Amino acid sequence: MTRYLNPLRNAAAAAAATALLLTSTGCDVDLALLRGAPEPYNFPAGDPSDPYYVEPANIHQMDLQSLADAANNVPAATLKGLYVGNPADIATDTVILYLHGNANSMNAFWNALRQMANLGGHHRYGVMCYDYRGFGNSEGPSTGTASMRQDLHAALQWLKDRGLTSDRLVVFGNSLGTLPGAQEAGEQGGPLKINKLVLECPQSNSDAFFQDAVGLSVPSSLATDYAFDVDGNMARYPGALLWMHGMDDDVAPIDNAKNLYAAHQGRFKRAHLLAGVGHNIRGGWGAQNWGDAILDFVARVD
Amino acid sequence: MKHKNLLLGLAAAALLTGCNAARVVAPLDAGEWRVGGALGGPQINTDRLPLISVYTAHGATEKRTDYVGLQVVSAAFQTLHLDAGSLRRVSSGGGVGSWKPEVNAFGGGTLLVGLRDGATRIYPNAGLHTVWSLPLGFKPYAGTDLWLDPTYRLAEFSQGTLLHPNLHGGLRWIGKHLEAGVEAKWLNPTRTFMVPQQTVPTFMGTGARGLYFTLAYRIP
Repeated sequence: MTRYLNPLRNAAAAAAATALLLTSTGCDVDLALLRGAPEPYNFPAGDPSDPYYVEPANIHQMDLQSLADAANNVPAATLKGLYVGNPADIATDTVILYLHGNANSMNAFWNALRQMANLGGHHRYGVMCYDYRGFGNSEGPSTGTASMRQDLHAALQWLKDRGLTSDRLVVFGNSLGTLPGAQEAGEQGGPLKINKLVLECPQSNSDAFFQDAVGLSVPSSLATDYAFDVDGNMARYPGALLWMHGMDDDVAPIDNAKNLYAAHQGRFKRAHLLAGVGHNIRGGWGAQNWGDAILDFVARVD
Repeated sequence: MKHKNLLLGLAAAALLTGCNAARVVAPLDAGEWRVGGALGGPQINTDRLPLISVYTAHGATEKRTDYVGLQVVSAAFQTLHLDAGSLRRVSSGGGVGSWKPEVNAFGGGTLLVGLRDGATRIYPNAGLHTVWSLPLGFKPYAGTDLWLDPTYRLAEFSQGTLLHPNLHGGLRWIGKHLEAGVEAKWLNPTRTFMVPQQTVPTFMGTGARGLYFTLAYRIP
């Protein structure tokens, strides 16, 4: 009997030790999904003949103080932010807060930001963007819904401190940015309420995201504690929604995203479902069409 | 960007249906223990994911072998991932050099327990190995492994399915003290797998393809 037990006991002990060692590493998919990379910021004004030219004096970089959330083990952090426009006009301007997608930093979204600033006229809108914790030169790391919420609140507080009110705020979420954007729209717990929300190629929820990769009915908690729920938040969001999605999107499947649009029962919603377009809406649809759709929503929807 | 989401691919692959080499393809000698490991996984982009698992198997009788394994990579993602099962000889083959294969059936299941919130899933599976015997201890084999997802109705947006088939083929070499093998799998050809910003190569446009290497120590 002993000769049977020894190999089993040794194998079990080795396996248990290995498992314990690895579980102590706390590996989480969001370690990779919620991480950019530091890089020098580069926001060139462009050529004055460029339709999306921005005045150099209207490119402002600032630090944002993202507060701690002790209940969720989130420390305070300093974020790097960008405002395109004259901060002195925030008290009267309409401002688009752009929550960027998964890239090293907001550098990758500069062309979209400067186009937004010029929708419907030169420097018609103020545009704000910031790097989440762990992206660009913001302190890190992002760890999930709680840290993303604190970062978004920091940006909203910065705008509120300069006179922005909820009726002149538009929140634009691109891909990864749809997660904190939708979350705040559903919770409405920040310094400013969200009444206009744009979701560009959004994910649906973390379980669907993970099941698409695995194929089984596994919950996302088997690999991550980042439990995002865009569908659920859209069901709670009372404001106006613009949804743009490429029908060939192989990063955020459109069939999943249709559920968040169906769930939204707020005061207004509009969808642009784009044949032949992938995850890069602006590139695939064309910057002009993209800008026209946003301008129509920002300027004409009450 | 592609490398960022490889971590998702790794986690997904570790939990993918049937994403492992067969623990045993033919019954062990009665009373024999075999302790081993498997390295390998599905291909994502041009990379093969380095999933690691360890197992032990015991020849309960001349015709039946029981086994239990632990997926090590899942543990890194805070998930206890165990598989266990039993393999039984259904029909004897024609011996070394014969075209008539030995046929072995197996059944068991996989247990997943998330250490974050206790989420638990059990996936039963069953299948067949057809095994030929060649000189010098080589055993080529081919077979199927059908997984059931009893909780498929819990999948988001009604996208779950009950049956998840896998096909595999490989070669084992069984020496006096060691067993070594290589196995190729067509993972779940009824589905397409989507790992954001990654390409999952397929056979004929569906499923995923995996390659695994095994090594085990024989204890008489």
